Amino acid sequence: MMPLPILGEKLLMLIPQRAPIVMVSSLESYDERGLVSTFLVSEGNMFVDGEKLVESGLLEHMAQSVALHTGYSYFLRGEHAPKGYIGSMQNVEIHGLPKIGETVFSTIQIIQEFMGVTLVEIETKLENSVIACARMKTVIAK
Amino acid sequence: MMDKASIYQKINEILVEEFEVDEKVISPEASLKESLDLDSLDYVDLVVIIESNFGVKLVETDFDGVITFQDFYNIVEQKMTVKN
Repeated sequence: MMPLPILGEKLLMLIPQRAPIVMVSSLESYDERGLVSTFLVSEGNMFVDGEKLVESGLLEHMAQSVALHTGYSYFLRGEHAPKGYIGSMQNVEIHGLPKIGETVFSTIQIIQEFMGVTLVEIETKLENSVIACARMKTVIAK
Repeated sequence: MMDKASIYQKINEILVEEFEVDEKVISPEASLKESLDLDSLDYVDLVVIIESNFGVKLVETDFDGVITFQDFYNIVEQKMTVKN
């Protein structure tokens, strides 16, 4: 087990994504049923338009947070992070978008894992206010 | 403890609601997958609604050999019997 928080190069060991599409900055906490991740919005990020992260960037961050949970659970078993994709998104609500220099915190709660499909609920906060939530299914690629 | 008929009826009700199908497509001998138009993403929903309504957790191997609604009823019923 790596000491938390995990960031930088160590974080990249836990997800299949690589620059310029890395949309998680740290793994703050983890257990079998969920995690807390962060993402610092930086200038030059491909999902930034003007000064703000666009909706698709926020959703990509949420999806990568799920991938991070999967990747860390694989790491704990001594396996490499698997590739996967978003199967579906439901009940998506976006109430706000972070600006460059701001950090969002996302909490992932695993509802169910079945036949390679992970059903999760995700809540993303900016300065303690919920700015987005969604229910998502992610699928591990075979 | 629920009897078989009550279990079957409850399963039908939640399937109709979750998968938005006409109750008429559900019959013991009909294909579960085809009648509900289930794809690989839907099975996780099926597992969630059965757990939340009946308190039993289905695993992948439970679906081995499940073709019809009756097969599915039998699995849920078996799990409930073991639980109780």
